[in-house]
Amino acid sequence: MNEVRKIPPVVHLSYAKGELIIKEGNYGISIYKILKGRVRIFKTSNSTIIHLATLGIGEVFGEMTFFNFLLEPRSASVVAIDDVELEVWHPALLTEEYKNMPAILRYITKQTMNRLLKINSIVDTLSKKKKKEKAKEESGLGKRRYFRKNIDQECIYRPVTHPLKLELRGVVKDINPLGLGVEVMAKNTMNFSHDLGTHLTIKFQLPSGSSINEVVVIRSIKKSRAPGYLLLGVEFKNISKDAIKRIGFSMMS
Amino acid sequence: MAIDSIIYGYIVKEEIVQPNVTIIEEGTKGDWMYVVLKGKVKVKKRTPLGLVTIDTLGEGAIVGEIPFLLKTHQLRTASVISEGVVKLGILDKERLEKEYELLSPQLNSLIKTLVLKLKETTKKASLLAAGQ
Repeated sequence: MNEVRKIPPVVHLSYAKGELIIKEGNYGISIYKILKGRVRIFKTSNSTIIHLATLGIGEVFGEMTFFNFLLEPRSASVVAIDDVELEVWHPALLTEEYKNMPAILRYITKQTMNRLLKINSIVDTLSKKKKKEKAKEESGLGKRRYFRKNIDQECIYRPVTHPLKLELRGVVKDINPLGLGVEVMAKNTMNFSHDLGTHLTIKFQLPSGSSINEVVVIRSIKKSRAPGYLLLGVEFKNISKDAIKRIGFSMMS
Repeated sequence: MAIDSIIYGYIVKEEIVQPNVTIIEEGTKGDWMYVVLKGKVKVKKRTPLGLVTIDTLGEGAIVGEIPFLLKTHQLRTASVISEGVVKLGILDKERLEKEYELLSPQLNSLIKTLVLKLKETTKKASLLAAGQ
């Protein structure tokens, strides 16, 4: 074959701090290697800027277009963080080598490219989902599950497995069908330790007057605002349907 | 996906793996590569909330290529676990290394850039999937 190949020479370009080097969506074919400075790679989605990466000396960008066989527009934008100097390669410099490299290496590279595209789309989907959930939570819709009704009812509790029939006093501060917030005196721990996972039986009255007598497990321990007191987050264990109904009812009032 | 004949030439050994066997373990050293000849494997990644499945790969998929292509980072970036009974081919690492080293520094850095991106994106995806 008598083919004359004209491979454009490698050129050097300089960009000032803040200048856009690649614009997402544009068609471009060059590959860039950073000789000086840093660049930021970002995407724009619904007018939100998503930072993807910061690259420095010796690193390369513009490779996605190359491995996509120049068929796709630029998948992200690149901006100069500092004054940068770049070495610009024309893809023709490498296309021939890519075509002629051992087929298995081309196979592996193609596979890497396909996996990257697949995972990129997973990241996009999950990011959007997360954003939606966050917005939902901020608007209050997602909080319903965690809503707790504030009450102030004295309670009596004791560890289920304690050998002595202790009767400790506390105050139920908040309630929902999953659990309670109970304020207790820190010195109650003289008698036993308020450990995470400890089972307690707890007795108290709902504001409506009906009484609750259930087994709970300590899930969190925090210092209460009142000095010398602890706030226990406890979860109901095997709570009866009837009790759930009564708690639910008291939360509506 | 049918196995490409190109790949068969590189297989030095075949192995049958029982279900739920860890073929590659995240965080360990090693840069040999496998090709899935029969069956399916799961790619899993550790996150603060436990293991997350990133991908399920079938026949023709090459796994374990990331440390090989990066050279500098020899640790496995994810675990690969057999789903059912899997037939694997172990690829000729020495021959592949020699061929990979013959590439120009430019093409080599392009491939490395792509692989690094896959590594980073996979990490991001696993964290997102774990609800982080």
